[in-house]
Amino acid sequence: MRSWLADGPTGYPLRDLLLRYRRTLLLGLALALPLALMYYHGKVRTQTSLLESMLLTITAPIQDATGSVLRGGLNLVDGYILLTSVRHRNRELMAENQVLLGEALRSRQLAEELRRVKKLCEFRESRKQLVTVPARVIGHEVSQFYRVVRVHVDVAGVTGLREGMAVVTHNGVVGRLEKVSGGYADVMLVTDDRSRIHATIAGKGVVGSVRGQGKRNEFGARFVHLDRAERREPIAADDAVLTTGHDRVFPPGLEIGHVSSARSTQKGAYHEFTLTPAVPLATLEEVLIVIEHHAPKRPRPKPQASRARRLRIDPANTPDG
Amino acid sequence: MKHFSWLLVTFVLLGLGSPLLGTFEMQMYVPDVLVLSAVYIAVRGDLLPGVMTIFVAGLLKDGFVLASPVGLFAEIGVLSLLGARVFLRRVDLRSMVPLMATAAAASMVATGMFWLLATVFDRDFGGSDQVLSTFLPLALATMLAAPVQFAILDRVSGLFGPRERSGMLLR
Repeated sequence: MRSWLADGPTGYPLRDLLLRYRRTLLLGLALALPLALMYYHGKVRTQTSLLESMLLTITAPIQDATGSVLRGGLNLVDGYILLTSVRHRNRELMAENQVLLGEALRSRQLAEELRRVKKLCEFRESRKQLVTVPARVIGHEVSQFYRVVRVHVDVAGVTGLREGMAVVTHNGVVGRLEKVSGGYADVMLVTDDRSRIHATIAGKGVVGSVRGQGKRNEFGARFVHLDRAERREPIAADDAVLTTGHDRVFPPGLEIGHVSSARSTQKGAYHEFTLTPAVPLATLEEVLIVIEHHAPKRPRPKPQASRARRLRIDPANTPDG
Repeated sequence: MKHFSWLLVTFVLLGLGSPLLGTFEMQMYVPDVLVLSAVYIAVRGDLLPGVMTIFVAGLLKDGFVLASPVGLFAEIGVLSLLGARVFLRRVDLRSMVPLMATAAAASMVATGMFWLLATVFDRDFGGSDQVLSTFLPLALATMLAAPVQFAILDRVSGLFGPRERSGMLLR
């Protein structure tokens, strides 16, 4: 091996050549390798690559940990440090009050968390055809250009999470899984510029597509539908927009949002409306990932009356007929 | 070892950015930690170890922002470092104001590079409006965060050798 490296085809020692140009080669590699990675990862793909999975595994725990430390620190400041001046004035009583206030603060936080979780449970009970796993939001967007949150699945041993699975809460649709690695996943929100959901407006018989706008400080989406002359009722503000289930990602009947304004922008045969998401995306804490959904059972049709019974009451057979 | 410590500091700051600013509802004003580290390493670090450090830091930032293609921030980091090395050899920063102005300029250039690379390589990218609207706020946030981050990196550098007398990139 050493002699092969020492005697290159040109006669110059290959090793000396590499050493002489190592700076240029390494710089070239540092510039070219990211371009190759971007070319591969920039294509439309449905699966998380090995590198993405590794990066998600490395970065998600640190986000989770720093978030926990930060919340603990803020609780300490709110519950104890800010009360020291009061404790000086009345040491014994305020020390007792400090402990009680801390417990009250924790209780309020637990009660709020319980309220949210209870609503999620009620949602799960009302939608038994959906098989869901709960997940906790550990990181909101770290980029100004993509509407994505990172979640951690709270249930141990859950397998089978896949890219493209729907993510919902009791309020409605949150988005879909984009990248998955172990118990961590990135969720592309319904307001992301890349999001597309097949939808309908409740009670109006209108079908279309909800598209994210990726807006920075306002969450909006566009509802594009064909202008149908036979539509009787116009689309109005506050009309609810629901999933149809035709995209085979989101179960039908889930609320995506509501129409912000009856004013629309016409583009060819399509009309675009602005929507407000049903879920408060900026303060998302817990979500449900839809693992699978079953079609609801249809009620059995009633059996028809027998031919003999129908003949018995046939008017043609009455004495007057 | 000092390059590894700078990498570690950058990683922690990247991890802290989202939950910290999310708590105060300032997610849109995350300073560009990667670009600030690239500027600092361009001045204080060696070329090859510095490039490798910022390359790995860029990959880690790609891990925090997996919505963008992996490799995008690694490329921006390396280009920022090389550009900063070329520029700062010709400019002698003697006070805080030029330093912060350099950080703001580097952030704006990095945002431009993000837009260009995302437009070319990300098939789903449609956020040109967002890039334009956050161009200046991002540069402002980065400019204000520059003294803090440089001070942290200086302090960490001091653990591995004698600190520069002037400190914080001042020459």
